[in-house]
Amino acid sequence: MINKTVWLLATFAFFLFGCPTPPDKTLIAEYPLSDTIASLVPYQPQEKIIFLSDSGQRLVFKVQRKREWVEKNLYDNCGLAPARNIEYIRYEYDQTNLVSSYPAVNIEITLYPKGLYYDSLAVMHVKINTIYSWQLLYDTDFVENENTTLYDSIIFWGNTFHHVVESEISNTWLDSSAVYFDKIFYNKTWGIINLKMTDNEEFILDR
Amino acid sequence: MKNLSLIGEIIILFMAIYLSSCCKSDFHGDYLFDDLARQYLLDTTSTFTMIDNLGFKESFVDQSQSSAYSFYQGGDLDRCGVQFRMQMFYIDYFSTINRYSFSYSVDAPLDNEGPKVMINWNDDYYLDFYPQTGEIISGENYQAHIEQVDSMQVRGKIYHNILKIIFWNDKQTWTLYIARPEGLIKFIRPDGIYTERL
Repeated sequence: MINKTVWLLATFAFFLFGCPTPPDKTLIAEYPLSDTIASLVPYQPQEKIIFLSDSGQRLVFKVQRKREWVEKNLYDNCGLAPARNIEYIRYEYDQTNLVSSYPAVNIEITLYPKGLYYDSLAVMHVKINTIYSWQLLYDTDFVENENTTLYDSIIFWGNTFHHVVESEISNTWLDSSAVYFDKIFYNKTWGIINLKMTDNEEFILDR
Repeated sequence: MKNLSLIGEIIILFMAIYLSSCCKSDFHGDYLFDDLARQYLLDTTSTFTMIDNLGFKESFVDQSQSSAYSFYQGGDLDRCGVQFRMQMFYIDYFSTINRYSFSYSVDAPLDNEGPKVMINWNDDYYLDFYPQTGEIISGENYQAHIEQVDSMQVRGKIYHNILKIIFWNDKQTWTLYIARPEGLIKFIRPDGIYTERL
């Protein structure tokens, strides 16, 4: 009986006093998202966005949007001996989801502040159904690169859109005969203007 | 203390009985497709495209990689230390827009039940079908029905030797049509939207 009590007390003491104290955390940088960057995405929560295709299909999306701060540890020792001083950063991001029930398409647009990934550039990540993704960089305008083309203006179905960025998907692991969304056309005023598929079918924003 | 030792002995006895009964199995050597199994093999098309009745297109892309291009997929299996190889066929598709998934496999016959056909739809519904006996084994929370259809026309093309498969429960019903050897040629969603092979 005494033995059992001693063991119980010892076990209790081990868990009580043996636990390491939480490590110190040092904030080394904060990256707020400016309103200028947040305004790159024009969608409002609960808004309904409709795209029409050349052959008459309707893609109807409902908008969800959130803007929040997150913390990210810069040093993670994989759960081994706890670091005594964890450095971390805080950043603000803005995430918009355009969700369509059928076809089941979820377009996720995430804005990251300048300085987080690139010193002077903000990042816009566009993902469709978590499979297809595009990365647009923004300085004072969208940045042109091998997958991205800028147009002063472009016409879709007789409507002229200004300051449009076209971005082509960079991951081409799918068979060339596969049909999927591979290009987006975007501007600050309207958001996504055209979703283009590999078979050249276009879904144009119905304004 | 005596009780503990007795329980230990009983456990060891049961394990010995289990292992000895298992190891009496005569599984060994190669198990190859018979004629019936061969009738259930499908084309290994890496990508095919379908269109629904609303006009939305999407592709089905095989992600089984190496296994998609060979009919002989023997693997060394181990039962009670006896190595054997079983011929099997396996394809595994995902769709590019709605993220449907469809996998289909055929195992060479290992015993009197004959070859086994396994179908998995969206990771929510599956069935094991034994063509020799007609037996179907499906998952929980839904029923599965399989029917052989001689031929049917899909978007102007006539397909033969079709497996019509229905998964249903009190909430929804999915119907799949799998032609041999072309593979998935049509499916009908619970909301009535149907998608057909182009």
